[in-house]
Amino acid sequence: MSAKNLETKVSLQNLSKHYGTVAALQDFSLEMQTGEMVSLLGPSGCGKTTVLRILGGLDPHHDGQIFVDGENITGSTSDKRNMGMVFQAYSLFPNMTVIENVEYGLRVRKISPEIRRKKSMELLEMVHLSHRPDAYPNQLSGGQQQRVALARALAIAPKVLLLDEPLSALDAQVRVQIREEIRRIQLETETTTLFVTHDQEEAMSVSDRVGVMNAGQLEQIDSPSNLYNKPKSAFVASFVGVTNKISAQIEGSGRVKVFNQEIELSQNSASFGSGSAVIALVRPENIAIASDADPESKAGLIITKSFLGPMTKLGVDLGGENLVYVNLTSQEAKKIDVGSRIAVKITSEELMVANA
Amino acid sequence: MKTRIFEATRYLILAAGLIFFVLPVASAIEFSLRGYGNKGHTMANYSWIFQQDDFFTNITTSLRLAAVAAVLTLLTVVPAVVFLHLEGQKFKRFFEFLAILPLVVPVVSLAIGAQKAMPLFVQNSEYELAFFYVVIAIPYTFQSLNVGLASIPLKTLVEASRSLGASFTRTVLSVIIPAIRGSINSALFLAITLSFGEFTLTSLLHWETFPVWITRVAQGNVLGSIALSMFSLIGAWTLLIVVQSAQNWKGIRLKRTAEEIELEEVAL
Repeated sequence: MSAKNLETKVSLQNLSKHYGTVAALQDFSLEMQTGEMVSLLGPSGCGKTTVLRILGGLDPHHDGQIFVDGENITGSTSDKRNMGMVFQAYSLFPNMTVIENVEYGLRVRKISPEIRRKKSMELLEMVHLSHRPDAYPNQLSGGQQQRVALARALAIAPKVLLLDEPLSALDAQVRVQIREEIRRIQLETETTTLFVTHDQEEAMSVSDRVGVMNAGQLEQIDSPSNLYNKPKSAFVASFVGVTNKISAQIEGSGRVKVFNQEIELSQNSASFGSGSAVIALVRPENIAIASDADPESKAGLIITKSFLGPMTKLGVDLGGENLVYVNLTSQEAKKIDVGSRIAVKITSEELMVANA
Repeated sequence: MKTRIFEATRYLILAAGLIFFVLPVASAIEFSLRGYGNKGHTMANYSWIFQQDDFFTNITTSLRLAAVAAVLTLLTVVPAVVFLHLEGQKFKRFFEFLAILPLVVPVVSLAIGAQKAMPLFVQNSEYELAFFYVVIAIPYTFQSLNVGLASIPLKTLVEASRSLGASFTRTVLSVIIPAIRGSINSALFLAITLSFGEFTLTSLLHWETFPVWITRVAQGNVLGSIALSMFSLIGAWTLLIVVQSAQNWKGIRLKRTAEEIELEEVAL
C-alpha cells in the first residue's frame, strides 16, 4: 500500500451483534485505509463474516456505527452503500450471460449501453475472461465464475470491495491462482478491500494487514509478518501458523524454563507467578538440532518425518504429552531417519506462554 | 451378457410404457373418426364440434378464466413462495401443509364456503371461478415453485443483486423470476390446464365453461363426445408445447465437459 493512501476509508466503531444470548460480535472496531486490503481470519463462528455482512448492509447489528469516507452509513440499506461483494457460494445470475452479469450494476445505475459494455469488457479483460462474454454461468468452471463475480463487483467502482471466503469452494491450485489475481487487481484498482477467510495462508499472502478474531472480538490486527512473529496473545500465537505447545515453568524475573533452557518471557504474555506451570508456544522453525553435549539441549526420538518440498517436518518425542515438531531444510533432514535420536534446542529469544 | 439383458429390459419397459400411453389415445382418436352406421372414417365428428352454437362461447370463457387464473397465480402465489423462501423459512413447513389442503377439502365445501367469503360483485361474476381455480391449483403450483426456488441459491442471488444497487422489486423481476422461469412456466401451465379442465366446482356453482358444456352436449352424441375429448387433449398438449418452447427460448445452454473446463483453467 502506498503512503499517499494513508487516509481512513472505513471506520467500524464498537459494533455489537447478538443472537439471543449469544454474542456474535462484541465491541468490534476496525479502521481501514484507502486502497488497503485487510483480511479477517479466525475459527468458524468467530464473527468475521458477521463483520463483513454488517459492513455490506446485509445484516443488521445492535450497537455501533459505520463510517465510509467520513459519512455515517449505519442505517443505510445494502443497495445504497455502493459496495461490491464476492460471495463464497457462486452468485452469478444464472439467467444472464457473463457480460450481462458484469453490466448488471451499471444497468441499475442507468449507464449508457456503450459505456457499460466498454467498461465490462475492460474488467473481463482484467480477469482474463474477455473471450467468453456470451457464456452462461453454468458453462464456466468455479474459478471462472468467481472471476466474473469479481469483475461484476468491481464494475460499480465500489467504495469497498467485500470478499466473503470467495475461494473456499475452489480446488487448491485454482485457489492460489485466483487469490494472486485478486491481489493484483486490488492493487491495480486501488480498491479498499475486506477479505474474510479461514485460510491463514490465503490471508497472510495477499493482505496489507490481517485481523485475527476470536469469539466476536478482534484479538490482533497487524501486518502478516508481525502477526506471525510478534503475536499479542496466546490465541493468536497458537492460531496463526504451526505452534508447538510445550510444558514449561515460570522462573520469576520474566523468564520461563522450557526443557533445560531458561528463556525470556514475551512482553505480550499474560503474567504468571513464579513457579506456575504454563504452556510455552514455540514455532517449529524456532527449534534447531543441537549437540548432545550442550547442557541446554534436550534429546528425543524421531517418530515422524514429513517431506514438504524445500522443508521437512520432524515429529520428535521429547517425553512430553505431544510430539514436538521441528522444521529443517530437506537437505539437513536427509541424514536423519525415523527412529533415530536427536538433541534439540529452542532458538527464540523470547517466548509466549499460555495457561497450562 | 448382463448389460445386454439390462438393455433389453430397458427397451421392453419403454415399449410397454409407450403402448400403455399410446394405445388408448390412438384407439380413442380412431373411434372419434368413425362415422355413424359403419361409414368408414370421417372428420364429421370434429366438424360437428365447431357447428355447436355454444362451442366458441364456452371455449373462450374457459380460456379467459384460465388466463385470469394464471395471472392471479403469478401475482399471488409466486411472490408468496419467494417471500417464504427469503424471510419465512420458519413458517415453511406450515405453509407446505396449508398448500396441500385444497386436495383434502371437498370441492363442495370449498365451493359453498369460499363463495360466501367473496365480495358480492365477484360472486355475481364468472370471474369468481378464476379465484377458485387458483386455490385448487395451489398444491401443484406451490410445489413447482417451491422446488424451483430451492434449486437456486436464492439468498445469495438477492444479496448479490442488492449489493449491486438494485431495489428488491428489480431483483425479483430481473433476477429471481428469470432464474426460476422453468418452475414459473410449469406452475402457470398447471394453473391453466387445471382451470381449463375443472368441472365439479364450476358445475356446482352453476356456471357453464368448456368442460361443463362438453358433458352436456356429449349426452346426445357419443362419437362427438370422444372427438371433443380428443380435441381438448390435443389442445392441452399444444399448450404444453407452447409453454415448453417459451421456456427453452433463450434458455438453451450448452454444457461443457469437465475436461474442457480444466483445459481452459490450465491455459489461463
